[in-house]
Amino acid sequence: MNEHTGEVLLAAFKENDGYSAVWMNYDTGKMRIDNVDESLLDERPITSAFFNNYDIDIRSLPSCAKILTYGPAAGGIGEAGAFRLATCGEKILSLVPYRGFKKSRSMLKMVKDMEVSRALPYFSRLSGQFAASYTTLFINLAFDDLDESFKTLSFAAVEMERIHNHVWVMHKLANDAAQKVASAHLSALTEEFLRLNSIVFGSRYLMDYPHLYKKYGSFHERLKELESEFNGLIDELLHSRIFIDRLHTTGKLNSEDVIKNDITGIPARAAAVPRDSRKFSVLKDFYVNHEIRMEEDGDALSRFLVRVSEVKDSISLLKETNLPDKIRVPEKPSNGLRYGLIEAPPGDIFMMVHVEDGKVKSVKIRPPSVVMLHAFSIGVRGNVFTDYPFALDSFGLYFADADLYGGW
Amino acid sequence: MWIIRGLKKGIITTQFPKKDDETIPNSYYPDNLKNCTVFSDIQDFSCMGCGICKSDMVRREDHVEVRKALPLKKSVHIFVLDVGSCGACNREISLLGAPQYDFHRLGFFTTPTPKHADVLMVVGELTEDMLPVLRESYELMPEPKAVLAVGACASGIYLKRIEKEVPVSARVSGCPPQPKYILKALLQITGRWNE
Repeated sequence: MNEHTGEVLLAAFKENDGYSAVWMNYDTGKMRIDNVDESLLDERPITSAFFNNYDIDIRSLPSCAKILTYGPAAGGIGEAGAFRLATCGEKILSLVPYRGFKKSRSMLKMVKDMEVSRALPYFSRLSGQFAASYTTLFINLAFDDLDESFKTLSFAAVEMERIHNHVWVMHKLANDAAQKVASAHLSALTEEFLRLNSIVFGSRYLMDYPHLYKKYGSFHERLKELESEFNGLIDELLHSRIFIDRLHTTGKLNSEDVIKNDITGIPARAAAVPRDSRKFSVLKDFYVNHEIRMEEDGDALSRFLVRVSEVKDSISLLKETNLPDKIRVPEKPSNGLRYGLIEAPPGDIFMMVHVEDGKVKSVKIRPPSVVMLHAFSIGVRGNVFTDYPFALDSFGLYFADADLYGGW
Repeated sequence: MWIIRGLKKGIITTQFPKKDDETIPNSYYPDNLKNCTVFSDIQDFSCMGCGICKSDMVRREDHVEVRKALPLKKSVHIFVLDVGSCGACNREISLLGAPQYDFHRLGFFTTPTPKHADVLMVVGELTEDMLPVLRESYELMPEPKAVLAVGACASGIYLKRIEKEVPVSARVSGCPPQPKYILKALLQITGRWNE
């Protein structure tokens, strides 16, 4: 295990007079923001992801190479997003994300000058799959009057979000490996977790959970049933050599790739690089004894196994959590400029919020999917086309999330 | 063994639409839309059910409206087009294939190309970059064809933007809509829904 991973370039934003960079040390939890010059763009490959200025270097490719665009509608991605890839026959020589199809969603800009309490539904809908994480992070940065019962509910919502996303990724991977029965079981299990979310938090995707939560007496009982179902399915799936062989060595990122490219979240942990923001996040009080789950190989199988361990951890944590009878939704805005992190299912979200007179003046976001897209673009190189869905799905990324990158 | 696991689990597919299935929790909506603090001219289909208004939140069915049905007796192929969604509607559509809903049993299938599609299912807020893709997808579909706007963005908040480009035959509310009601909309649009 690499104990010291140095400072990670978490985000960079274009400013009027250059660039600002957000640095994070995952060993100490220290985050700092400074002004940097353009040389940063050459030194850190992840900046291509931040500024969406990817290009395939044709000069480095063999003469037989062809470049094609895959997406945004019929590319099998399931979202408005695309990739540009270079190939010479079966092998993917190079691949870069082609994002921005969702960039002009007006919802992103509508919150400017809006009262923080009115802005909440918009933050809940920035990214449907990570609604609880965005909602929780925004509330923690934009409000002052958070009590213990509300924090406990936030923690539970974020952990439920981790579970349903991880199980959905497992369903997709089983489907990619033509394990149709396993895939059907895992999609059924996802649906059951979403129904539980709806019953407890008022929304299948945990949107607006602060306003819709109602105490559900059988929460732990139902969770135990779903835990038993999950454990049984995973035991069965990990006995499938077909499944394991298709994921093993696919979309591989080693620890050097992770460190060089400022990768965080699941792909970092799957390559034995301990980058996990839970102990430093806005919910850090709930993760005092948190143990970072890691694997060694950095491939799609390792990312799958990290997810399995994290689902088990999340269920254990939730079983020990007593959900509040009632909560008080925070109302008092915290004026000033604040920033922080939260560990969403694939990796951490960085958000900076400036509130003045109770109104949102500016927001900056570095979503996890932008890092996952960059990690995918590195991991998939040298793989063949049939590996593409395994590699892509193992990162659990969404273009809707990646296109949030930036400030407004 | 997967077979034994499956047998032990039994049938989990809903009886819907033959019988209503109350085990599937409905979404929350306010009992009075007039108290909305998000939109000044809120309509049923635009409501996100966020709960920040001062109304009581009640669970109820998502709204389904069919303007022009497309009665089809055999298999129906659906091309799903995300024109700028947050991703939640996409997942709900994918879950129509989950064992609880199994929309194949009712003759519905997704297709990766509009050239083979009877129904164009549109999700999200229409962005500039997806506008030509929406137009082209619709043009590529063979006649007869229908467009189903899914979710509060496509069916309510940004419906006008989509309607300017393609004729919307039916819509379903919800943020996101429950798979059950997307299924209901598909059944209604294809003339297979019996009250």
